[in-house]
Amino acid sequence: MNAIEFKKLKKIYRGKIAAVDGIDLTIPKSTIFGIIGPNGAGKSTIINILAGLVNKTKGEVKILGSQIQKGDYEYKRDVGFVLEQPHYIEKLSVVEYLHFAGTMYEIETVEIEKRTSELINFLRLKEKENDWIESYSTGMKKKVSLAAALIHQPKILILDEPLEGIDPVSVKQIKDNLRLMVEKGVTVLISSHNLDSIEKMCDEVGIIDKGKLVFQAKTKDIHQKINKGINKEIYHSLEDIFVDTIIDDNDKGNNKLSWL
Amino acid sequence: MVIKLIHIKSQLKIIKRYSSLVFVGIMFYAISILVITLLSSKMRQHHLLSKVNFPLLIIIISVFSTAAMFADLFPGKMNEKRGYVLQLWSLRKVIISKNGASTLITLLFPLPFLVVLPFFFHTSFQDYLNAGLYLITTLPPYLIFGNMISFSRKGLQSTDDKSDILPYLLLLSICAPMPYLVLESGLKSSVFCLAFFILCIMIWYFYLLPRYEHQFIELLTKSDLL
Repeated sequence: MNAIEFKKLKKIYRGKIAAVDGIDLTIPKSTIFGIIGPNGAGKSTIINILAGLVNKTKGEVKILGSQIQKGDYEYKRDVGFVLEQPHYIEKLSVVEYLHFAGTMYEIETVEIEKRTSELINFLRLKEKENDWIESYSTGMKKKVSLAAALIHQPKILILDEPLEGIDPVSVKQIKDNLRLMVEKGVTVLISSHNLDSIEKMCDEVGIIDKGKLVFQAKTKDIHQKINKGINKEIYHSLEDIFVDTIIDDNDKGNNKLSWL
Repeated sequence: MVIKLIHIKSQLKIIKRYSSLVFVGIMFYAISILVITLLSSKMRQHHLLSKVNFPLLIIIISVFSTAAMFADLFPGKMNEKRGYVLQLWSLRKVIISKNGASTLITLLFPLPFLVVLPFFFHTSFQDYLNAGLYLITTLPPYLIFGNMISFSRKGLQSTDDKSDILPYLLLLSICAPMPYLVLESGLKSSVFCLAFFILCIMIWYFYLLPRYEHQFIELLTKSDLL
């Protein structure tokens, strides 16, 4: 059974703008899958469809083998989300918010307290644990969102730009722990603009452009191809592959500013 | 479905932080003391002090002060509201807890007055009964129509600026005492008041609550609100 499957997934806004245009994608269990793409490629729309915040226009979405229909929500008990716009309650402290989130997931109070304390220490939020979230920096707010996504021990983690604004020490810890979680059977779908992180962290990468999946490969295969060359070009990193996939020959003349 | 004390406690905390509850509380006590002082001195002059139902008066002020909470169940930014879509199995508990917490506040605010009033003014059991009847006939309109405002497009879109929902709230505050005026003052029937309360709660729970949930999901998943 795969963790996430899309079949001919389509999302059309206002009857004409195709944000997602017939994507077929399978993400096996216990993998970290990275989605990359330029701004407006459709990455966040895919994540919002999975979160039930946007309804798909056509196609199929399966989570842990079950097809997701409009209005379904039971599958979300097994999924943790960090969305582009985090969904914390601003006028609560991180301790209060994690308690609230734990209650929403129907976790026992003793267990909530234990997990809250561990998450706060792990994400280095101890210093401001009693301050309202609205006073936190962007990175700290992302951490709060990540903590809430982890508190119910999800089988799938869906993360939209989760490391944006987070300090390097925490980034390292989060990456290491995501790997540990994957070894225990968790699946991670991560969308990011940070190609370096994606390359190092993910088992598989998909490039999305104009709502279509234009490239998909295992990172170990990408590493083998790098330096050997694909299509007679020499690649040094995922960034080179990404740029070459996204920018077509007509656009290549637009990569310089004439007056600089 | 079990609503635990912890759900109400969480919602009380959220309401307290978002609704400037301390300010509302201070206003309630200031207005109540002012009204009682003015009315008692005026009525004492005309020897009509015993005619005034002070418990009812306090309940009227309390319900009026806290009514807005029923029409603004989900304050805060849109992304905060959207967080509830990720845990939809708990949404009904959240809605009930929010209304429960608002009702509790409406009851707790006048409590000190209701305890102290008999020491200063002549108050009968009937006065307290009428105050209770006012409460059970006025809360259902707030619960039903207040929640209706809360789950409307304007209600869910509003964040700090409540001007969009204010006219509806004002209209509701004018109309909410009607059932009491008809059933208690007009028909003089406590039984009708109680029946009205039970009927409204049943309509709210079995018919309206699932619709509010549906509306919440529909409006928050509309792409133009993203």
